[in-house]
Amino acid sequence: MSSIRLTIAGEPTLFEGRYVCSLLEHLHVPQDGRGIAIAVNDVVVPKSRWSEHELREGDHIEIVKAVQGG
Amino acid sequence: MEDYLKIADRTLRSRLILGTARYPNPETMLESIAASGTEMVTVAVRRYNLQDQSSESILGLLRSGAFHVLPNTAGCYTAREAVLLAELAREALETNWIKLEVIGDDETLMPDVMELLKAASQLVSLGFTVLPYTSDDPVTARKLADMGCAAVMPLGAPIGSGGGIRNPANITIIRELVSVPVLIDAGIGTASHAALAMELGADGILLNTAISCAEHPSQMARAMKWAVEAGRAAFLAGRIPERLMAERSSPIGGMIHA
Repeated sequence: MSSIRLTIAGEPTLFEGRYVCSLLEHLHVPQDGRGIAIAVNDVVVPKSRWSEHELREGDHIEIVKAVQGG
Repeated sequence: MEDYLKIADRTLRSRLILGTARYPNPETMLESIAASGTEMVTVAVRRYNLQDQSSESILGLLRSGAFHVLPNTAGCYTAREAVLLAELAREALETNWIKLEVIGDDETLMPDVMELLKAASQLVSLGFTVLPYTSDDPVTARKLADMGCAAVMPLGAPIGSGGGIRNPANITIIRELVSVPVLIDAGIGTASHAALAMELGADGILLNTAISCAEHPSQMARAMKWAVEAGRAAFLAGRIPERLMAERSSPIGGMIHA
């Protein structure tokens, strides 16, 4: 499989895979989804679609979690 | 007598909402939350740290279900950023509730009112329960309430300043103008500030630094709980009008002569 170029949290990254779920697995982000969310090109990809949402060359990815805040 | 705080479809016994930031350690945070009697705590949403995944998550610390978790959009400067962060928060935390914060600059951390109004309007139409952190300007507060925000949260003084209620009259005006709950968000430094805000008619207080950075956070949390309860009770009791001159309380008649 050929790799695609992604930007994850502002950092250019090469990724050999197709789906959001495989990217999360590759990055060792827990898949239970509790407290985690992901946006691709400024659009939220809901957990229910992590296994079917296909990533494309040039996608901008943001992965976030809940942290202590005021 | 039951005197609960009702925001949208949620009924809260405690009128105090607590931030979870800047505590010396997680144990102190949990002690302080418990001492405050709060039922709702705020969290922020930030980039997942792909390098360091060791730190325990705030949700794990809070035990799921024990508190309502209110995510914020702290750190956003534009409506666009705030709406995306709110959507991410909704997905991550499975709640429609959002503490909307759109700030104008780093020094004051005061709201950018134009971006705030834009973001609030978009989030209301996206189905969010929006609690906006706003300036103490009554017109802005009324606009936020009119567009469907579930509460308005004027600042008492700049975030983290501990300056108290810098413009008490505006808080009273805002209370008169809007029918949704008015929560004082930011500026509370010590218990008397919280009591004053409640005496002015505020429906609740959101604070963080005053407790988390106090010398003894859980003691300050208890003080804030009492202050909010005392201020609320005084507001409901109806204070005496303020007078310039004295009015004696002991009877004039029957006084001895020497």
